[in-house]
Order: sequence, then structure tokens, then C-alpha cells
Amino acid sequence: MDDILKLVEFKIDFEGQKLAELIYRVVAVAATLLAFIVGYATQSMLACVAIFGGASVLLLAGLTIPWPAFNAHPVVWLPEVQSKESAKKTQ
Amino acid sequence: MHTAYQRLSNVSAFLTSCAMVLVALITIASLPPPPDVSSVVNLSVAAQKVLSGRRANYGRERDYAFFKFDYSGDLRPLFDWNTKQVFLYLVADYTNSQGVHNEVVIWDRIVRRKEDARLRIADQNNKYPFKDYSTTFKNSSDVGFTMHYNIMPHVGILKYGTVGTISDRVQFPAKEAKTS
Amino acid sequence: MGEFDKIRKMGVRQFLLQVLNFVGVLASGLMIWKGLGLVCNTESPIVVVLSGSMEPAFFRGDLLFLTNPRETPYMLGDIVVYKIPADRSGAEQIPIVHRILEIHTKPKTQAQMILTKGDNNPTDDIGLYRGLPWLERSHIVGKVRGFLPYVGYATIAMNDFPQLKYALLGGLALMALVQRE
Repeated sequence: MDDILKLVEFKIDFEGQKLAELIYRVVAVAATLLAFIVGYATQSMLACVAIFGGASVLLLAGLTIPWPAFNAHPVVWLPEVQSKESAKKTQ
Repeated sequence: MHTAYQRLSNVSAFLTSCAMVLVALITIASLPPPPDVSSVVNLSVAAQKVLSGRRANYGRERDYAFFKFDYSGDLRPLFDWNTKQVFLYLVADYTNSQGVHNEVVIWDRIVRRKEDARLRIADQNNKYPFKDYSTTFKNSSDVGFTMHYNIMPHVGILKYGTVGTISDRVQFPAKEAKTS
Repeated sequence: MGEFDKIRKMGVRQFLLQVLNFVGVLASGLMIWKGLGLVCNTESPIVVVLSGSMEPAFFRGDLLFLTNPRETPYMLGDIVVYKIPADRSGAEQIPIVHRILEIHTKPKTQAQMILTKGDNNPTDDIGLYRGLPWLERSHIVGKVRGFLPYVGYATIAMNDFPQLKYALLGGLALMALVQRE
């Protein structure tokens, strides 16, 4: 069960998370403003909805996939250190 | 943000907030009142007849009035990006013999596109039965007619306005005597 | 599994604090809703369109914002939400969103006798009034001032397809159990 979940989670590392957060904040705000301005300028509600809807779909689909760029800085774990108690136990 | 589910959830929440902001922006942009369309008004109404009759749902026998009207006008300035449809309605107002002030919609039309907004209506009958609060129009005041509109937006505040009114009020014709 | 362990680790006091937080959120929501109702002078400041009788302007699932200004008389063309009083069996009537077709104002009291009609209906609503000859101000919940499309469709879908409700609850329960947090 755990293995299935691990497969479906599409994990990304911390640097990737920062990048993803930056991407969605910038794109969503830009899409909102662009949708409003273009819709108002062309007097077309269709343009407004299409821009915002299209950007939303792209954002959701794009960020769900674990692109290699998001996994470029994997977490570096320190090497295992044998503590005195566990060394005693293994004796 | 490390699992796909979390990313989906966070992005959806932020997009929802952005959608609310977009709706607010559109509503604010649509706040200014619509342009005046009363300059090109051509409304004339003529009385036809008053009959006595009984229709289902309206109870006992009562007077029904019939009017014909002509109207031409250009409502295209009312259509902007946020206009879903314009609801046009012709209102008759008068005071009856009992002092009750009556306002009645006798005709309406839904205009959905800017292309359909240049109207030329000739010799149109009233669409809805024109009946009084009491059972007769006898001794009622003369009738005034005004054409109004209601702009229904895609998003935001509904707006109302007047297109025009006739200059002289129209008298109710005498009730036609029943033939047999 | 995960949730129960978490609760046991927290202890009774923390658990009660969580419950209090949750209740606090619910209470604030209720306050905002009732406060909005007070400001707009109506019991339901926000309603979902239930029928197709006002198409093509209002479709099922659209959201309407109502006000009921105290001193202002209603005008022809106003779109109002009204409720016919409950019949003898006590069954509450559903609110109806239609446009005012006729207003007759009585001379002394200035009371308004109102007749409505849905834009998409061929005739007026007299058949819906269950014997009442006219609507009065007391029957009207409020008049429509603002509009937001589609947003209320979830509530309609839940009512029309009760399987959706169970599917949603089932899905949420599944997510709570399966989360590896």
C-alpha cells in the first residue's frame, strides 16, 4: 500500500517546491490581470474567461507533473553515525 | 507542496482567490451607469378597445383593454462586454376609479445580442392581458406609457433605466357592448 | 489510524481546544451570514436559482444577491424572490425568482399588490399563488441586485443526485485515512 502511495505522490524537493510556488503565484496573478485587461479592452467576456481558464488548466496540469527541474536539488542526508548505545547493543 | 495532491490543493485555493478578485474587478468596472438611450425615442401608443370577458384564473367577468403601439430605437449603447441580455418592457400606468394606482407591463422582449438591438416595432398588440385591479376601467384616469430596460450582466449588479415615454396620455376607450 | 493516534498523543485538553476552534469557525460563519441578512433586510441575502423559469438570464445553479430596502416601494421590472405561505399540511413552499409584471398601489395604505411572471414562462404566476389573488410585500424575500453565474450549482447537484453527497463524504473519509502525514 505504502509503495503504491509513494508512486502516486510525485514528490519534488525543497528547491523545487520554492520554484513551483513562485511559478504559480506569478502566473495566477498575471493571468488574472491579463484576463481583465484584455477582456475590458476587447469588450469580450469570452476573451477574459478563456485567458483565465486556460492559465488555470495549464498551471494545475503543469505543476502536478514532477518535472526533472523540480528534482534538481535533492536533499543531502548526512551519513549514518553509530551511537554508543547501539554499538553496545550490537555487541 | 511536496506531494502532487498538496500542490493541486494549494494551486486550486490560490486560483479560487484570483477568480474572486477577477469577479470583483469586473463588477467594479461595470459600476458606472449605462449610457443614455432616450435621445432616439420614438414611441406612440393607440387605444384599440375595451372588452368584457372571463379568462381562466382571473375569476369573474372583467374588462380587458387592448392597445397597439409603435416603437423604434437604438439600444446598442447598452451592450458592453458584461451585458448578458437586455430586457425591454412597456409599462402602462394610470389610477382607477377607486384611487388605486396601477402599473402594468403590457409588452416585453428579451434582446440577447447587440445586432438585435436596433428595434423597429410597428403595430404591436399588448402581449399580456391588460386588466384592472377592480373589474372595470370605467372612470379611470388616462394612461401613460413608458418603455424601460433592465440590463442583466454576466457578473455583477443588475441595472435599470428608461428608454422613453409618450408625451400625451391615452384615454381608455368605452367598453364595447356585448353582441348577443 | 493516523488521526486517532494524533488525537491520543494530544491529550484531552488539546483535543477540546481543536473542537473549540472548529466551533469558533462555524460560529463566525453564521455571524457573517446573519449579519449580512440584517444589513440587506432579508432572511436569505444569497440564494441559488432553482428553476429554469428565468432563462436565458438565470440558469439553475446561478447565485443571486438580494436586498429588501425597507422604505423603498418595489418597482415594475424588479426581479424578486418570493415565497407563498405554507399550505395546510405545513409544507414550506420553495422560493421562486420571477419578475414583477403588475403593481397596484392602494390609495390610503400605499400597500402594493403584486403579480409576477417568469421571463421564460408564457403566462403570469397566478397559478403558482395557490389561491392568493396578489402577492404582498410580506411574501417577498427580497429583490435581485447582483448576479454570479454557475457558483451555486454544487448545491443543486447535491440535491438532485444524493449519490454525489455520499460519494463526496466517502472520498473525504478515504483521503483522511490514506494521507501519510
